[in-house]
Amino acid sequence: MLLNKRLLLVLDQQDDISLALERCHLIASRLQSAVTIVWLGDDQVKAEQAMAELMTDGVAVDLRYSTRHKLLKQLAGLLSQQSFGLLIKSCDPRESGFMTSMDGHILRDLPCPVLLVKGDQLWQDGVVMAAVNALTHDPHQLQLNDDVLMVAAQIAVVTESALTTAVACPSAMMGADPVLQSENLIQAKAQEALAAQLSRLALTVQASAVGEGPVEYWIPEAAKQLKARLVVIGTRARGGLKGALIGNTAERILSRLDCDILVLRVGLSDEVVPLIK
Amino acid sequence: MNKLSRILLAPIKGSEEFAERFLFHRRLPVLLVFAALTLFLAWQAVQIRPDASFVKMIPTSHPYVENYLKNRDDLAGLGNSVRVAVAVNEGDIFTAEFQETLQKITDELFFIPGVDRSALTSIWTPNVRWTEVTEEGFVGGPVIPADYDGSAASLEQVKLNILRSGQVGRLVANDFRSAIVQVPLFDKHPDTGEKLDYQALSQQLETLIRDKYQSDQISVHITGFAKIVGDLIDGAAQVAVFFGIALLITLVLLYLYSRSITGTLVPLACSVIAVIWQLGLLKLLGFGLDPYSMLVPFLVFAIAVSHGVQIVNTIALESARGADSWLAARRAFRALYIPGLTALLSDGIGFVTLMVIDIRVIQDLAIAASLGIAVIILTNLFLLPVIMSLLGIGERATQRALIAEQKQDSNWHRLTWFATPTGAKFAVVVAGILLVGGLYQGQKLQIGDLDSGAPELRADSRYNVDNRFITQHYSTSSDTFVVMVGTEKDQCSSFNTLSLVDRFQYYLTNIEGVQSSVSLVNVSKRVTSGLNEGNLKWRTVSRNQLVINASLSYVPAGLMNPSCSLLPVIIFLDDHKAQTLQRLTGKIEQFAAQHDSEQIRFEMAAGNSGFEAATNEVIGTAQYQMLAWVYAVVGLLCLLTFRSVKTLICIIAPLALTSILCQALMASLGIGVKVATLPVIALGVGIGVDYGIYIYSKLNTYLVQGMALPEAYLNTLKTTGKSVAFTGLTLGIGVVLWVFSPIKFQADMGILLTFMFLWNMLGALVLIPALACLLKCGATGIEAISTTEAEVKDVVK
Repeated sequence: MLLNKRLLLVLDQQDDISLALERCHLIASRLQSAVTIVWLGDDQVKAEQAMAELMTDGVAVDLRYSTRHKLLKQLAGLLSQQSFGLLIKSCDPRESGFMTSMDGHILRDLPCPVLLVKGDQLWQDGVVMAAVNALTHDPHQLQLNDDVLMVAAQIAVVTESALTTAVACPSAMMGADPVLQSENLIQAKAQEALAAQLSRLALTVQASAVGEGPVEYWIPEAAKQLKARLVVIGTRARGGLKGALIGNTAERILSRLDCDILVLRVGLSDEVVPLIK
Repeated sequence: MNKLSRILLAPIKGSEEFAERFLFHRRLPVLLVFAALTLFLAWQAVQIRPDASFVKMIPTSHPYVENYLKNRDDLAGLGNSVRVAVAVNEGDIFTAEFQETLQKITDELFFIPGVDRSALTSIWTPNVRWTEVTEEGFVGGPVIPADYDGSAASLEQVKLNILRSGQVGRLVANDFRSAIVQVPLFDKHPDTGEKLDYQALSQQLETLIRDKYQSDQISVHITGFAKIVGDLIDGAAQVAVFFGIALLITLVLLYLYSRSITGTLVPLACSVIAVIWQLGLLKLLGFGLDPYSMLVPFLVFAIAVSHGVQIVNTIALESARGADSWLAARRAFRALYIPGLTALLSDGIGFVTLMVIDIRVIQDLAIAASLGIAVIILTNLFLLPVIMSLLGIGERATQRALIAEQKQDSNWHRLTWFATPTGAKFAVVVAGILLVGGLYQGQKLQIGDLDSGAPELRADSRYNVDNRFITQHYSTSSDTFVVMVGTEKDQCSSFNTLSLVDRFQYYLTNIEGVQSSVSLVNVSKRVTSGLNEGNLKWRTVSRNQLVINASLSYVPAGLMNPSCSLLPVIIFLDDHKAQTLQRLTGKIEQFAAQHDSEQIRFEMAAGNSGFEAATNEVIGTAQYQMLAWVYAVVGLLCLLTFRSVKTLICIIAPLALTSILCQALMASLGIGVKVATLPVIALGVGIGVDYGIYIYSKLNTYLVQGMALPEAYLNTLKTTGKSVAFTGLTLGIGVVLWVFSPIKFQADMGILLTFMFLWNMLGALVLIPALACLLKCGATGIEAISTTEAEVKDVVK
């Protein structure tokens, strides 16, 4: 995914572009990937400044302009023409009224992994946290868990950070299957499942934060506890009616985290598998 | 069992995630939708009207009622009617003023909508006549002569006519101090098809008759089913006041318990919203509010409150563990989802089973109650946590919950004695004794009315005073039982028919409880005698058919049908007590069995006592049918949820004890099982099962972790048990004040409901651990854990 593939950088003229730009710069120069900038706005001067910054380390940069209205369409078009490894954007989870935020739309509609940048700390020598749903039985979810763990492991290796995992367990539910009736039992089960998964993928983690959910509460808590600089999480990317009714957890978390978030969609395994060494 | 229950309950368990995410994803739109629905349904609810109907009270597929409905057109005035007695306080009725008043009243009644004008009877209507035999033959005429002018001579004439007409004791009192206007009503107007508006009728009777004509000299007394219903509907305002009082008490006590303003107002508001939705939906579906279903809204409120308190309590506990309001509400929602939903589903489906009873009023009540329960799922299980997630429970409540949880030595400790073997045995033995006592006492439970008059109203209520007046001064009681004698066409006046009916009437007079009877035979006898100079030897059914035909040349309305194939025998009873009716129907059946043939059939029944007899019969079987269905449904759901027969016993046994003790209580208090009181016991089961399911679910979460029963039970008490105790006590206190209601029906229900709330609570808190201990219920979940562990391992591989 990351190697030899282009990066897509979305910069919004109205926001502070430095975070996303810096991150993109770091990633592009480390991986020697080409970058396509999609600039939201019409200030050519600033855009070209940004382009210049990126080109300093010999990174090939391509600049396009867009507006908020046309952004999604344009991005979709770009993604269908060329294959991009990663979309980088600064995190902007603001919602206008009851509508989905721009970030939400991006997460739902675009097929590539998305990195939403919030923090300015280097990932180098930091902590990467993979958020997985250890108690699922759904095959797609299980595959997604594997993808998340693999990608997080890869990034940890490249940035020489510590790999950690976080699992949000559902809270106790009276009357359910006996195991689900007690917090301790649920968490014990989650730990087991997680250990099994890690051993199957032949990964070792430095720490695991297994706690009582719901997800929107525990993952940010865990990220704080583990001092993660990057959280890798999967999303079901529900769109349409389902998306309107119950939404996506990944989108909900965006506003509660204060580090960078890398979101993987369901079904990206063919991108990730070739990377396993 | 496991697999079956998993399949059946999968939707419940699976839906939790969707429901939770949906409700907490975007709370504001969810609240807006609820608010919009509430406003709409509130607008509908205020338009709801009282909707009573005579036919709804009787079991329409009972053979008696079917016979009545078949012959309804031929039986004028024997269905629904009202009697208006006009009395003088001094002197007698033979004064010009009185007669004028009586005439005016008769005319007023004639014009009231819903009155069957052709069957209206009073001495002032042309269908009441006198006959006399003179040297010239028969002489007769209307009781009030055409040349009546109010003079003393005219009044003398009237007096004479009345004596000759045989109306003394019927339309004129035995002591000549009052006269009755018999007003038959249409349940449904034959031309326009509109239903009788009981409230309007009652109002009109009051304003047009009683208020207008009652004075120092004249008193008016009104009886009849329509008046009872009208009085009950008028009393609805009173009923509502008592609901309001119960609501206030619940509010105050809930605040004292939780010390949280939001924790008090929000559950109560959601419970009131549940009632609003229920009434609104009833209106939308075209139902009205029956005076006998007046208690259903309160019941819905009570069940909603008990669920709401559970959720608020759990939120307080989560807050004490450090969660913010959003997190606490979300966790509480998830924790209580299954027990709450199971309890409400078993309540709702349990109430739906009341539809097996063939009486419309009870079927309507079943629908109203089930609707209410279904609505509680939306308002108290869904809406309440969402609102609480926004408002939070407050600092004080959180502190209280924290302190309570950390308290090591608490009062609850004493109750855990019942979770130990000695205590358990003691509890079960005491329960056993109560059971036997209850069964013994419950045998005395009577079906039907145990007192005369209208038992729904107090003995000193206006209606019952009027009823006593009429019973005391007249020979024809208001309790009529009509046997329909069916013959082939034109055979109703044949000698064979009449002589058999004559024997039948003689047979009847020897039955205890029968006052008198009237039929075509009486007419024939009297007229035959009259045709023969009044000679008593001729006062019989003549063997000569032509003589019979002559005697029946003029027949008063209602004693024969136009095609002469039906002759009703109207039986006047001393009272309509269940015993009397049973005795009567038994004897009539005996007679019919002996004498029924192709040519003549003795069919029951019409008249208000006839319907009552049919109703009593239906209720007798229905009572046990209903309980069987309710327990079956509740038991099945509990079995599927907990997957253990032992658990089922733990939950059902206290309920069964409550039902039996409630029956014993009804027997002791002299409350008979009738249409109004029949559903009470089934409703009690619905209230009680909630407690059992919540307590056992919580207990199980501790048992599953391997705790010993006493310790697990102590923890359960400190959390769920507290809410159960509180709810039971509060609702009991709120309802006990109904004893002071002027509507005796509400007062009776108050006592029964208080008992059921308190006893269900006690039974749940004491008997569940006792039975769990004795049945060794520790192991319900544990073998299941090992199977699920194995499953997880398989999946992960």
